[in-house]
Amino acid sequence: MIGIIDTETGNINSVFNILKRTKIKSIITKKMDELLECDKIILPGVGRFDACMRNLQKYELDKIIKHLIIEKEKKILCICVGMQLLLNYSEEGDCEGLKIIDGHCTKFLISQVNNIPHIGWSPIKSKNRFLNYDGHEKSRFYFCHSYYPVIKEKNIDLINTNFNIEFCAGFIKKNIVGVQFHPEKSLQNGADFLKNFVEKF
Amino acid sequence: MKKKRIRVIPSILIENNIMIKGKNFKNHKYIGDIFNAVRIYSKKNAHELIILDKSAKEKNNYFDANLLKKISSEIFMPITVGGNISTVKQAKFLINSGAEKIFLNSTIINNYELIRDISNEIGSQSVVVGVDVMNNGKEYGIFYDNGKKKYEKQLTDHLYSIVSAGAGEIVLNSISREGTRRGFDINLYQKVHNKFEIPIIASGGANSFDSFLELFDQTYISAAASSSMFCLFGNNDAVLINYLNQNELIDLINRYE
Repeated sequence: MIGIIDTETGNINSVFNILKRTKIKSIITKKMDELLECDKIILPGVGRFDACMRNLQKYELDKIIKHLIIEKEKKILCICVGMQLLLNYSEEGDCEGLKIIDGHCTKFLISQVNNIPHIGWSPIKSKNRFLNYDGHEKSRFYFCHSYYPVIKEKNIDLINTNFNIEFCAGFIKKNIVGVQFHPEKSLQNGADFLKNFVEKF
Repeated sequence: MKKKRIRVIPSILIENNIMIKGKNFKNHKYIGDIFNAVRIYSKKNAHELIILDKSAKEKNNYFDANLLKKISSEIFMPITVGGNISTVKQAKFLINSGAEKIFLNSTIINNYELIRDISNEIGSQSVVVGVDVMNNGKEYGIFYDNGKKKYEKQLTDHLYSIVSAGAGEIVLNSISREGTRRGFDINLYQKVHNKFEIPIIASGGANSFDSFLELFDQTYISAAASSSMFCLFGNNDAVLINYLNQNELIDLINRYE
């Protein structure tokens, strides 16, 4: 059973639906006891960093997530703003992040990229043994964001992509996978990614 | 020129949850079942979908969230929905119902604050604003309410206001080309293409693979939408839901990366 944290923001149902189609059982919940019983956890996110963080705090989900990740070492996939929330802070707003991973989010500079936001299907590279991607067609995922992570954390596997500049598209550290792209919106490539996370990570 | 990440987007116009298609915003004809269309677009790896409800305003409603829920439980790709979205609450509800982005057009006329309010809540990257223009031979006029009313403002001023209010993307649609399959209005996109940070999606007139090459070669634009090309076929406009084939798609993407 996969527990999808009910952040009430954005793409929760998309994650639920694609898992269902991939024949993976999941529940959407805010409850600690239900999340503790799940094999793995997904933290989705769409929206502004501040709005998402305040929403977590409203339901004390910030504490629950920290407990699940740090004390219980639950395997977790954090998507888009869900991933950004793990960092110290984002330039998109004043809220502090969960500070689980050392790093922050910064905005693209128009002098470096074609357009802001970065929207489209970009190829990722990752040498992690569970989530191994080589930058070819099967590695293209859908991105839609203006802020991207800058990671300072040591001993972490970075997932990279490019959009005129090379930048971090996510990371893998012990029990945590964080991705800037949207596997739940990435057609078959996304379904394969999620299946991989559920079955192999 | 910087590298581009190309997007080719089928757009779907619906009325009472049925897919329709017009020409120059008039003479809409019946295309068919929306579910059939979205399944085909998904199977053919379309980059995104834009679905607009033409009848939302007449019904004094906004895009049907239940329809969106049904669609997004079947296909797992980025969907932008539009149709008389007038409040932050409606926008948020559509995002929670499976939309990646929401599309605003007539409801922002004289009300750019709506863009700001919505993007403050769901993030700029999820706010798309549609601008419909017609060329009178001298300049591009802005039209709204399905092309029925003219908005007395300069095009670039309108675009600046949209961008500064916090939109994440603009779909710049040529009413004169819409449904004609005469190719994109290159002149229009050259006028605006390098003025703004946010992506501008060209729309109106796509006819073939070459239409996209012409657009991407001659302008800074990296994304284009079409409905006619992806739902009609041949001189007699036979209904055929279609998309670029996989080889064309890969070729197109690789040319600009």
